[in-house]
Amino acid sequence: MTAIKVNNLSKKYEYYKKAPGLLASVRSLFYREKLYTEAVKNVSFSIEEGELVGFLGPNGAGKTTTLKILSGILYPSSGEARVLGYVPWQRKKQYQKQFAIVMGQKNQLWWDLPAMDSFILNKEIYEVPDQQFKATVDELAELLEIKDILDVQVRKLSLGERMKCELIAALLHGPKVLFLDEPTIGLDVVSQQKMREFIKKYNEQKKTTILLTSHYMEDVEALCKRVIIINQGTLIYDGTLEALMDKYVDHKVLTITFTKPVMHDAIVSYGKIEDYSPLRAVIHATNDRVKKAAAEILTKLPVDDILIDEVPVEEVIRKIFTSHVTNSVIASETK
Amino acid sequence: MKRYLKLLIVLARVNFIRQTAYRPSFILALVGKFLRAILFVAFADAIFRNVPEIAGWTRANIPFLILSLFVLEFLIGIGFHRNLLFFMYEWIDRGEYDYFLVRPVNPIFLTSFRVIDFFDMIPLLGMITIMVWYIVIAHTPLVVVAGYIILLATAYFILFAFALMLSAINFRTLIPTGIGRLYESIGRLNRFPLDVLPKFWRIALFYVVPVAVAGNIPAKFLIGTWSWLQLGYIAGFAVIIFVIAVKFWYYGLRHYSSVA
Repeated sequence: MTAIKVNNLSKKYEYYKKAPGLLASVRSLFYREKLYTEAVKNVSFSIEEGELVGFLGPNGAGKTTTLKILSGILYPSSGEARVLGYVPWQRKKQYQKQFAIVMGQKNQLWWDLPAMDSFILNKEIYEVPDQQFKATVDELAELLEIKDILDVQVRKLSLGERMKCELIAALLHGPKVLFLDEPTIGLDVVSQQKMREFIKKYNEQKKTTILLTSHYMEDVEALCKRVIIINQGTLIYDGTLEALMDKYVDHKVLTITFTKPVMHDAIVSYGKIEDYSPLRAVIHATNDRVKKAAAEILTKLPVDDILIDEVPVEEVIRKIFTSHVTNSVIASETK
Repeated sequence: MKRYLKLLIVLARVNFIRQTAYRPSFILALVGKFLRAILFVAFADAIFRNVPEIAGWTRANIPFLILSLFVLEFLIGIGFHRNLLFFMYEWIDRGEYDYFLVRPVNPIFLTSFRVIDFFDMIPLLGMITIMVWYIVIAHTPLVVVAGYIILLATAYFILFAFALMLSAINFRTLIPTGIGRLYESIGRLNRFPLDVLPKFWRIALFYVVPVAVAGNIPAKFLIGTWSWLQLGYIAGFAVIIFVIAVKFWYYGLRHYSSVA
């Protein structure tokens, strides 16, 4: 069953040009130039129940705007969307009780109070029965390993601890759909890892549909089989991560260290040389030639060590973000 | 209704915990509130020692006006006053307002009562106690008291409507201080017996746009200078303006653009 269905969704913001300086400020009291920005342009996609989908794009691509429209925070300029059969911006209570949003850079917990007090408030707001509330808090606090900080004022918690509490606050009512907007931003590597593990486990156990935005490729690689890439408001890819790599990556990375200095000319025929020094080279060899190139290098050159790596996902995404052809839909693969 | 009452109690509990977290601040704020009320009463008393009557108000019945003013002021201060006119701007500016809109609770309710101010709750109880005492010693008939309570509620909703309409401006453009100050400037006209105004202004302010005088009217009813017919008129006005204010607020909400 389709949990999220988006059809030609668009959002245009209007704003006024504000030039710097005192004179410009005074002038703006009498005349202002109105400008528009299309944050989201005719975006369409659908997500099935239980899917965990990565929603990627550079800063200002339209990811958060899309999430906010699907949460009912913003009205779209045009287009349609349905989440669990509801139109989000109608803000029906029945819909609001079935989804949750966590925004990594914003705080929903009461700053001066222990997290538990915020949970109790959310319990009443979402009308969570007492037993379910207790069981959920116990279960999630156990999973996230924060049982001992629920009675500590939120402002005294570290960012990682706070994010875990934010997650619990969002999941108290057992939402069917979860929007995660950069949930690991600013966290240390250990906290990021724990957060990823939790999200994955939660998705597997509860079959919650999750739409996740993140700038960390580790999040995407660890959690998402499918990614939707948006750039300058336009959807440019929707498909599996695997298919994305197959489509856009035509080479592998050979990293070779030598026991004796090797001339540049000796390795130029094996592929594109990304980095070279007499004792070390990094070569991009095409997929159809990489095995043969590796075999030849091993036999012909004084090799100390050789590594064959996949191109990092980050590099692929970066290439897509900066590519000149990204304004049109490039591919729409089925999962 | 029951659910919202329960939510109000939970919000009150959470806010009480928050406000009493810093004890000296809590105590000082309460002292300040009481002192302000006492000073105003003392000032009014001083005026009426020198002047027997101002536009029908005498030393005997001016306490009804002053106490009504404070009851109303503290009542609105507990809830929507600061929430709509001061804090809402901050919530929008910090991006926290997004969370108000995703909750399965009426956003007007959540915005208006997010912070329940116990600094006004406790003095309110004091003012109500004194008001009850004055009503009892004046042998005010119960039916008049009932009408007075209706008019207090009416005044509350008129001021609520006014605050809602002003706060809706925040969805289009953030005005940090102007809205709150404008509201207070107009609302505080209720401190004074507005019968002193020329006829044109009395009709305009009492019948056409009774926002500034909403606080005067309950006291006038209590001392017998405002009739049941006028009560009916003002109650009807309150319903209409509140409905318009709510629609206006939701219209403004459509232009909410959040914070990146």
